[in-house]
Amino acid sequence: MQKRRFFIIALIVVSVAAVVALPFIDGVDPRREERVDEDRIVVIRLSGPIQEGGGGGLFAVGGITPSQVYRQLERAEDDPDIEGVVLRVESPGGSIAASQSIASMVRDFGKPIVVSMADMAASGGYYISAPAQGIVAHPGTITGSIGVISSFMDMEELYEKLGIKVETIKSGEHKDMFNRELTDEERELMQDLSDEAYEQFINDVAEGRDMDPGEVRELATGEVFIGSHAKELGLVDKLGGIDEAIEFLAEKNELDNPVRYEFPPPTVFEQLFDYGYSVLITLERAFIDPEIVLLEKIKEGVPPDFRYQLR
Amino acid sequence: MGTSLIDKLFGVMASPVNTLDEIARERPVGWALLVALGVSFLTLLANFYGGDGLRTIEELRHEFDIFIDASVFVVGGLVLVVVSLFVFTGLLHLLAKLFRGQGGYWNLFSAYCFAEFPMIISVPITLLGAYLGTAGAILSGLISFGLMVWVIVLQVIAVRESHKISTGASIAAYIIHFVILVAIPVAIAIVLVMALLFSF
Repeated sequence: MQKRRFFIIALIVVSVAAVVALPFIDGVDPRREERVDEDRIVVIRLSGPIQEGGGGGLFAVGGITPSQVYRQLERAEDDPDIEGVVLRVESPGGSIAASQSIASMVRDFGKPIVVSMADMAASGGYYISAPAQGIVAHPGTITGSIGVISSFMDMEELYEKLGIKVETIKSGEHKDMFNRELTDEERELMQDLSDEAYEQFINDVAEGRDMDPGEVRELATGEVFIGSHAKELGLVDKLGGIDEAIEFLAEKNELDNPVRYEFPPPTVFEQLFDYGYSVLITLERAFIDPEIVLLEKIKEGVPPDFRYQLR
Repeated sequence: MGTSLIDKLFGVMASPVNTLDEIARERPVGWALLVALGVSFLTLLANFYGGDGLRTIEELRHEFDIFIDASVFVVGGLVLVVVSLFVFTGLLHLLAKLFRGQGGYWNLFSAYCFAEFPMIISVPITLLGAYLGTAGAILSGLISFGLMVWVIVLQVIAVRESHKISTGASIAAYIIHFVILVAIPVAIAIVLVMALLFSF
């Protein structure tokens, strides 16, 4: 009887251990290939709004996050077979700090790096592209939108309508400024902050693109440009897609045998965690009354922030 | 009082007739579903990494710019497993009834699910096969084929024991259910693909 138990338990344990071990065994997982002679240019896809977020896995957020970009760039930098990176950017922009964090990673990256813009790389999407060695965009790509936007909701009237009376106790003159209508002085304070972030945007684009700040300022009206026009304005270096971006990178860095390469997808386990997270979100949407979800969001409040974002 | 789960799992492999008869009588539906899902989950993951799943995804990504999420592959596979379990056993149950079977649906379902347990052996075999290269892949393929035949034999016994019909009737029910659910759709798919290919 004991032998039977041992046999069945051993069979189950060995099977589970085998599945867990499979991705880490040389020759089984294609991400552990032997060194190659070709000049691999890895295409890293960054898609969605730019925002701060968790480290991935179960608590991952969608969009482009600094930690996600860091992991992928680090992987490219550590891989001796990878000679360069094409960042495929598809983003309407997003939070300022996250954009700046990603832009500095692109600027400090130790290997050649070129941006290939997809449908849209506007505002923060352009900001993170600017420090690259070059920018390649499709003739129809929407880009530009150099500027800063900030908006927040004044909930006073909504609370009144709902019969909710908000008591605020504050220390510090402006501490409650986002809980009510702004005074003229506070609006000016906010405008100063916005202008400061705007200046940073202009200077960083000018530095990344090797342009005169005055020249960038003329384009920094928040206007969006189509790819072909952006090239005429000097915001883009070449028109085309990923292949043209690889060619551009190879020419600029004298690579003889550039080959497009993409990292293997995340392991099943990593993706299952992400999947679990989206299942939770779906369940929440399916089973919780939308009005309750809305009320929760109102309770949380909409934090005021400035964004390098299209709208 | 029946035997424990581990005894049942061992019995399915060592003395299948008595064990599947006992399972069919006891109807441990929850455990049966857990066994079938557990084995399917492990074999799906093993085939994904040890087989061509990961490479296929990479090739699709390179050639056609299509990315299939690996978790969709596994979770979708599990959903298919559950659906096919109910469809397969449902049809088998109806066919067994046509052959004057006496058992109930859940009797057959429980025995059928437990009959899949030996497939768990293919998990470490797939690992070994992938590790050993081409020779290993051939060896693992042969062993997996052998395991598949074993499981089919066990499922035939499961039909026979749960419905108390003859071995011949049980084999006939199994073959008919296979033809209806696998062979006919595959044949239709082949004809459609051929028609599409020749239309260009």
